[in-house]
Amino acid sequence: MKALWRRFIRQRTAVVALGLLLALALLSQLSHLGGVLNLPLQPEERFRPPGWEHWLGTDYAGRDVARQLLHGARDVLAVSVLTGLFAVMIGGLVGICAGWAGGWIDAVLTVTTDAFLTVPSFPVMAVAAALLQLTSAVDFALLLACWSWAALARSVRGQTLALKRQEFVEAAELHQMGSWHIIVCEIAPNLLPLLLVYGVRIARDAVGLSVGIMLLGLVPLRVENWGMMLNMAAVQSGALYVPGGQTYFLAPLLALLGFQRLLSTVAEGLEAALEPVRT
Amino acid sequence: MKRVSARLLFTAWLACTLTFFLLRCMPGDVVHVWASNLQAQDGISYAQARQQVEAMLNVETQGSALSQYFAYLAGLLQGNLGTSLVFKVPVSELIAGALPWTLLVTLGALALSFMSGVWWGLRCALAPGEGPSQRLRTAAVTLQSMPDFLVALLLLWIFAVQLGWLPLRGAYPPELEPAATPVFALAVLRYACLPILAFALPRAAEWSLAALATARRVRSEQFYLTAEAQGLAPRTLGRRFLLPHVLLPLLPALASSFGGMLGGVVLVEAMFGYPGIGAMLGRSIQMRDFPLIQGLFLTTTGLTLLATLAGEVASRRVDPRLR
Repeated sequence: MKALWRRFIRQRTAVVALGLLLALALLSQLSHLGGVLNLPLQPEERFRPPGWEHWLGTDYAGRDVARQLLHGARDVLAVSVLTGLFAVMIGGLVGICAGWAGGWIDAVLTVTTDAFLTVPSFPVMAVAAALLQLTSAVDFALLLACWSWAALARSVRGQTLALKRQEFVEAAELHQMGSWHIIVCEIAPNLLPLLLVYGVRIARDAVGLSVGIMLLGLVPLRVENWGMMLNMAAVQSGALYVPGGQTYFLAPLLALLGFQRLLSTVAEGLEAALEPVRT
Repeated sequence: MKRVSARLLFTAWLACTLTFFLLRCMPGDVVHVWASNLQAQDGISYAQARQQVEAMLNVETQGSALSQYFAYLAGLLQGNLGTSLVFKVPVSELIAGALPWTLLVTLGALALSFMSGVWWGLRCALAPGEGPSQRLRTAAVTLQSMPDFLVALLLLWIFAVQLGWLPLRGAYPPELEPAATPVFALAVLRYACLPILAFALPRAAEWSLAALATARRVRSEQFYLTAEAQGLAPRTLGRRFLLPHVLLPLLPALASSFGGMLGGVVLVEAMFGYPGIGAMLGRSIQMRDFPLIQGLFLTTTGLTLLATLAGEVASRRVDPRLR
């Protein structure tokens, strides 16, 4: 773990990306300390272009776009990170069980994993999110994780199978250390790199999925959420077609793309840091 | 082949079961709420209203959950998807009307992204030096991870709003009657441009990366080096020696790419107001039109499974090692 961290530190761009993400989280949290964002409606100030007073202009009701964007970042970050965490837990568990147990357990888990990989996930998530009326970031992340773990489980299973044939695992088995001990102490640490990289990638994709569901207007959410901002700008308020409304549309869009790019960079850095371990 | 079919059958069953429980385990008795609404609306008795709702949904509320479930599966096997609550027409009719638009966009994007991606990847692999490959990687990695609906919004902003070159919404101009004329076909193509591009751009990047990786591996293999040493023209080399080896591993991925688009169609079609099954699914979720949601979801899953099967069959046909 320590060695891993030391190698990751050397990936300059990835470290910078991680730092930016942490800074965003911190700023957004600071914005939340002031309580619920309750910007006054000022219809006469609507669709102002960017300027000194409003850095990113104003929305359809004359509210400041930059403050909404910053305030909404916390939910986006929370859903993304939690989804990665939950999916790694589910996928890791399923993959290790399938790879270690073998036999009929493996067969059942593999078929289930394949089924989850084949069923189009976005429609399921959209329907479930709308019908269950999800509002909290944790519920949302759980739902997304339920449909994001399959690819990870498949890789973990393969890796577990490969590890099972390694000498140090066979030696542990000869010492009769028990399955539980071998899985926790011998196999899991070797899977860590894989889980980390996949976790970051799932977190990145979860941003797109969650925002997509909000963009369709399927979940009741506050206006400062990035998905809701896009929905308002592109679909409902017509900001897309108003000269002054361009930044209201572009700000959440570019923020999302930038956010995903940062997570990709972190994942790439992790992968580069893990290269010698994986081969 | 047997294992593949078994897997797909299991997946189909899982999807049917999932929709059954998802739509029926909703908070509150859905059938009761509709029946009461219908009773008030049409002035019929509650029992009658309830019967109508059950017929619409293809559910039976009498009997145990298990017998309900089997009645539902039997209905599905006969192709009974129920009747839409909002449009009051059979769900299968609605889907048949919307499906061609979705297929036009997804299959068009599949073909465009695959051909342009592979071409781009091969070109960079064959180009002298590391420069082109490196540039391709930088561009493709960025493009690849973009969600298609954000690409759709960006394209909409650039080509429809700022430049005004392409139409904003819809599948054809409202003043035109659908007919088999060249004018109408051209209009349809013009309107399909942006949705197709939105799907194709991230996927072309994916294909180009895959093609580049395979092509570079093949280039260091014995048979290729021999062919190169014989002084064959780069064109022949690329077409006869490189292309088959690059295409073969990509074939099964075509199916999963198509499946991914069917999932993404909900958002992309909604962004362009395109009248396919994706936009329809989004609207039916908003209006809580349960039979339509069920039918659309099962159609999407069915198409994905068919594509997977076709991919498996095709790669077995083409690849002698799998026979």
